Formats: sequence, structure tokens, C-alpha cells
Amino acid sequence: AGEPDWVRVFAPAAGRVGDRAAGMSACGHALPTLELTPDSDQHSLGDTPAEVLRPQSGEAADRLARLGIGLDPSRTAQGSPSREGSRTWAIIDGLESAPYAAARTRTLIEHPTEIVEAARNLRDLLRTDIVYLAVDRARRTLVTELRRLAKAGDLCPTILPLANLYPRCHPRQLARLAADHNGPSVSASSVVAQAVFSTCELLDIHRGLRRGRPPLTQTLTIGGDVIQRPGTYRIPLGMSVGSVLQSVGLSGAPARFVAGSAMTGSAVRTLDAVVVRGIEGLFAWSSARVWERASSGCLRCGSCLEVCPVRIDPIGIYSAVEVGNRGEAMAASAETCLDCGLCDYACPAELELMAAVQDARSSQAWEVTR
Amino acid sequence: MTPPQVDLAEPLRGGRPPHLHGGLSHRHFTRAFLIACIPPVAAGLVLYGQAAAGVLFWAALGAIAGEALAHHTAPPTARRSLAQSLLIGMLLGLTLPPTVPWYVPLLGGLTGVWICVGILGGSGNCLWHPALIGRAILQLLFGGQLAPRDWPVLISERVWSGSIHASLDAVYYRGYHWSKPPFGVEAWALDRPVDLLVGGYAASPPGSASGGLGWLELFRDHLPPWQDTLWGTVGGGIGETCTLALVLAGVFLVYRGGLRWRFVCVALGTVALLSAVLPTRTEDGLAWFPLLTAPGQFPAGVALMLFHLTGGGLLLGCLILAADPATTPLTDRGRLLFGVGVGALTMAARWFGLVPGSTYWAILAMSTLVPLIDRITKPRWRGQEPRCAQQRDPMPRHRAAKDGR
Repeated sequence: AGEPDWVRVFAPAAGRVGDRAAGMSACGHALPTLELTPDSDQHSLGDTPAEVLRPQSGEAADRLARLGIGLDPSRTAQGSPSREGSRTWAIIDGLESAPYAAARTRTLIEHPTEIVEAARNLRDLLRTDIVYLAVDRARRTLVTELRRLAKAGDLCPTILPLANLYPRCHPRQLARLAADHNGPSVSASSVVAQAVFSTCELLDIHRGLRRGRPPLTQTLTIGGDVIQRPGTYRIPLGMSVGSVLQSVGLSGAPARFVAGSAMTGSAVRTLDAVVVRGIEGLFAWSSARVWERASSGCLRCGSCLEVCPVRIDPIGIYSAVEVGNRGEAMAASAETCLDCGLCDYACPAELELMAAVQDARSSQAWEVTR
Repeated sequence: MTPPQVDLAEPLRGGRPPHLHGGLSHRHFTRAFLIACIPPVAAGLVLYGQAAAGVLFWAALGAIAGEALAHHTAPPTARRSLAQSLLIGMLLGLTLPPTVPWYVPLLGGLTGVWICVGILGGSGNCLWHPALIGRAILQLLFGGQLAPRDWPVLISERVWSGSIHASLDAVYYRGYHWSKPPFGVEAWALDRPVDLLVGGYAASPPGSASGGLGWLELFRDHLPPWQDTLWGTVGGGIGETCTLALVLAGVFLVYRGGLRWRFVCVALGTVALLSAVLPTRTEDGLAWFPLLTAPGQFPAGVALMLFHLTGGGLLLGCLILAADPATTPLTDRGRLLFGVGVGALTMAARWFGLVPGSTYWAILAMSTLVPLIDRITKPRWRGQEPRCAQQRDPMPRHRAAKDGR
């Protein structure tokens, strides 16, 4: 309550949400949720680490385990803070602010009743105090509909209408916005654990529990200028990317193929790659549309500072890393970076700012662990 | 399962995220500034005819020659482009009087571009605006020609085509639209309003148009009607005088993201505030118009403030020259500080009658302080993340329909 300007979020410094374990797929931990827990090698941030949300009742845990729904075991809790007077949150992300992505909102629009029902189940399953459902506030009809559905039950989930700005779909930003939504009456420091699920994941969990069989599909957006029938599709897990492209049709030769978000996804160089959990988009661009970076010197325009959602200084870190000044890079809070890529997106000189921040972060980890 | 039959004309390319770019580039900025130069250049050509065309041509030629010269001396990382040099030449020409001989803009363009690109490493590495460096050098070398006694403006019948050398010194000038010139006269030889104000302030400032004047005589008999500064039919540099053209350029630059409207408001607001609260130094002693009032019926305070805003190089400096991203602070807070500094230094230079072209020197001085301002105003890590305060869409170009299909 005494922190009007700075709200605590117990989030990992470098436990990036995009960093899924390489072998994680349909056969293993089928449905990893986006969990904000510190990585084991990050000791620098977070004096009170988050508690992992786990199903409290043995029966529910068994049912989830039987369905192959589990949490990534590499993300373990670092301690167990007292739950007395504290709260646990779950946030359902129906916000779609990454460019061209549509899977989460589309799921929400098509299945509002099921999502609300799934949110209540999630609350019972994880025994969280609050379940938030983040939704684009510009979609007034959807917000009204969801509020009506929530009111019909016991006001769960709490609808969180937010401005749909990238990178607000990022779990750390969502957690912060949920804390802001509470106002000063609920101190954010009393929140001991938070979990963020996308609407697609939640729907998969819900249907899996209801039908008693593991979810074997992934909802994802397929787009790009060489895709003939772009849209949001439900794709079986394990299907090869080449088969997916063949199904949706190609109108030209793709030059770059991106799995994940257009801002944070990775370029896939073989069509034998398969659809796995966590990929919410597949994008194919022709050589005319693909962005090839042509870096030049900094223009000093300040665009990177202006767009950074966590108010760090990308160009300062870039300059420090360039001259090998590791100390300054550390001081410049590289670890706060969300890896959203907005600095690179806005930079007129096309500098590799995000890579420099990641470089500074890894050098810091190196210093700490040494 | 059949193997995928996807035609790959070339191997798939790799690449680090992000895979999209917002489209801003150095060329985007240069193009925006070149387009923004069109209204003041057009106004200059209308008001000063061939003389202005000559000055702008020689300045641009000098800048391009400077670019060619920099080819041999520039560091390999220097950003060099012909369009950028052309822009620098244009901007330099806009700050000069139409009466300067051909070698003055040529030398200014050449030295400005060569120093900035050839020695200091070009845009992004050079602390000062190249056009202003060129102008500063010219002022040191040809001070008298940059601050002439008479500033000619073509009469309304001879705009575009007349010669500014067939000018008449108007003793009883009643304003551009109300004064009838005798036969054979093609231009009025006028005073620069700000020089008159400076002359009113200081008893005998160097290079001023007149000696000290009482405030009533100054406003009633010597200054033109203020509306003339809107159209630019007052004395001044080629691109300085026409307020409407400059505002048009400024609005365009704000729209294209080159200029921040907050900076303009703060810089102009500082000048307006200081001109409203500072006393005026006249022959009769200090005259003060508190809260823009004045004894009698004459609204001297308002007139003083308006002439300070539009009667000199302030608008050209604040709306175009200080919009250059490379020589201004990185953050919005820094730009506000920069604006206050430019306004205050401009008023200080005018109040003490230090130099003609006070705004240009103020911008140069504040550009020197930019590293310091950046150090003060850059975001600092306070141990915790700030709130999500970002309200403007950072990627409007790539927002697609969110419904999917």
C-alpha cells in the first residue's frame, strides 16, 4: 500500500516465458502454463520468490496427471512463503496485442461461456483467491457479454478490460496491470503466486478435464503474405510445419518462416519442424516482405527509450556492451527487459538493441554465478 | 503420411527476432525535413525573388561540395547522403538574408557539411546542427553581411519577379498593404522587428538598426503592423519571416514524428513568458508592461510579446532546426529542458543585444549541453519496474484485424 508508483511483481528476472524446454511436446509435459517463478540460476532479483501454484486436492492433481497435463518440473519454487494474509492469483490472457496474432481473442469470442466456466474450474482446481480475465477493452460487446456471464455465477472471473497495446500480452505486464487494477487497497506485495494462462490453454485444460482425454491440438494463427488462407486454426500437435503450410496453401515462395509471435518468435529453417505446445502463431513472408536488418550508426532519435514498456535505456546498454563496459550494462537494468523487441522495431538505424540487452543480461548472470 | 510438397525457391532464411520493423529510417526523417522546407522556401522565393533563389542555390551547392570533400576525410562509420546535404544547404540558406553575395552561402554550406560529416562523423555523432555550424562560421567571417542595416522585401506588385536591389528605405512606413511605393521601386527596405526591439533595449547595441528609442515611438512609428509577420512581409532572413509557412512546416513535422509539440510549446512559452515579465530598456529608462498592459490605449505588452515570437528567427529555429533528432536530447523530459534553455537563451541574447540570430546561437549552446541533459533525464533503474504507463500504440503500422478468420 505504501508503494504508489512502484508495484512489486514476483517475477523471474530471466525466466523468459518464451524459453520452453526443447523437448517439451505432446508426449511430455503436455500443457505447461506460463508460470512466473524464478529460474534456479537467478538469485539477484526477488527477495521473496513466488510459490508455484499447484493443484491442492490430490484427486484433481491425479486427474491432471492422468491427462498428461503438468507443470514444467525445471521451474521449481525457491521457498515457501507464509500464505497467511497473502493472495494467489491466476490471470487468463485473452489479450491479443502482438501484431497479426489472433488465437487468444478468437478463442474468447467463440467460446465465452466455456472460458468463464473454465475460469471457475481453474479457481477451484488451484484454489486461487482471484482469477482475472484480461480482455481488449475496445471490444465492448465482448466485455459486456463476459461481465454478464461472470455476474450470472459468483462474479468469477474478474473481467480486466485493458488497452490492447503490445506487449501487454506479456505475463509480467499482465501481472502488473492486475495489481494496478486492485488499487492501493490490495498491496501487490501480498500476492505470493501468480500464474498466467492463455485462453487457448485454458480451454484445452477445461475440455481435457471434461472429456477425460488429453488435449492434442494447439490453436494458432497462420498468416503472412504468402499464405493463401490465413486465419486461426486448431492444429494437431506433432503435425509438421510443411504439412500445415500445404493445408493452408501457399501463394508464393516463403523466404522466412517464423514460429511463435512475429515479434518474439524464432525463424524456422526446416519444414520438418513440428507444431508443439506454446506456439500460438506461424507466419510465412516472401522475400519482398521480409525485413532484412541493415544496421547503421545510432541517430540519437530516442525512439527506443520512448517505446520501451519497462523504461530501460536500450541505447545506453547497447553502447555499453559495444565498448565492453559490462559494469554499466549491469547497472542499466538489462535484466528487467521483457524481450518484447519494441526497441528493435522502432529503431530507425536498425540496431540490434534487444540482442545487446540479452548480451548484457547473460554477462551479468556470468558475473553472478562466478 | 505424405512428405510436404512445399515449393521453396530458396532456402528459408534465419534471423533473430523481432521479424517486423516499424519503417522509421534515416531517409524517413530526411524526407520529412525536405518536405517541411518547401513552405518556407516557397515563401522566401515569393518575398525575395531571384535573390533568395540564388542564396538557396549556392548554399545547397556548397553543402553538396562539402559532402564531396567529406568523402575523403570522413570516418568510415559516418552517415553520408546527398539528400541530407541538400537539406543542410536549404536550412542554411533559409537563415541567411537575401542580400548576401554568392560566396557567403557557398562557403557556409561547404564548411558546415565538411566539419559535421568529414571531421565529426556525420548525423548522430555530431553534437551541433550542420546548418547552424555553417551559419556560425559565416557570422564570424561576414558578420556585417549577415546583419545588414536594411532588409528588403519585394513590393506586392513585384513578388516572385522583382529585384530586391531596387529598394527604397521607407521612413514613414505604414505596413506592407497600406504603403504605396513610388514608380521604379521594387522593394521596401525594412527593419527586422527583433532588431528594433533589441535597439529599444540597449542604448547602442552593435549592429542594431537604430539607436535607442522610447517605447511609444518604437511601437507606434517604427514597428510594422504585427499581421505583416504572419505573411512574412517584414525584414528578416529568407525563411524566417513567413509565420504561416513555418507553422505549416511545423505541423507537418509534428505529424511525421520529427518534431515534438511539447518542445515547441515550452520553447515559445518561455519566450512569451520572459517577454511578458521582463522590463524593456528604452531611452527613457526601463519600461515595464506587467501582465501585458501598458499606460494609455496602446497594447504595447501584447505587441512586444508577439514580435518576440514571430519577428525574428525563433520560429524557424524552434519549428525546423531544433526538430533535428540528432542534435536534441533523447527523452521527452530532456527535450522540455532543451526548449526552456533555447527560449531563455534567446531572450537573454536579445535582452543584452549580444548577437544577431539569437535563436541560432541559443540552439547551438543548448546542443552543446545535450550530453549533460541526457545524463540527467535518461530513465534510471530504481530497483523495480515502473507501472504500465504506455498509452500510445507503439506499432500502429502492424496492427492487424484481431478477429482472425
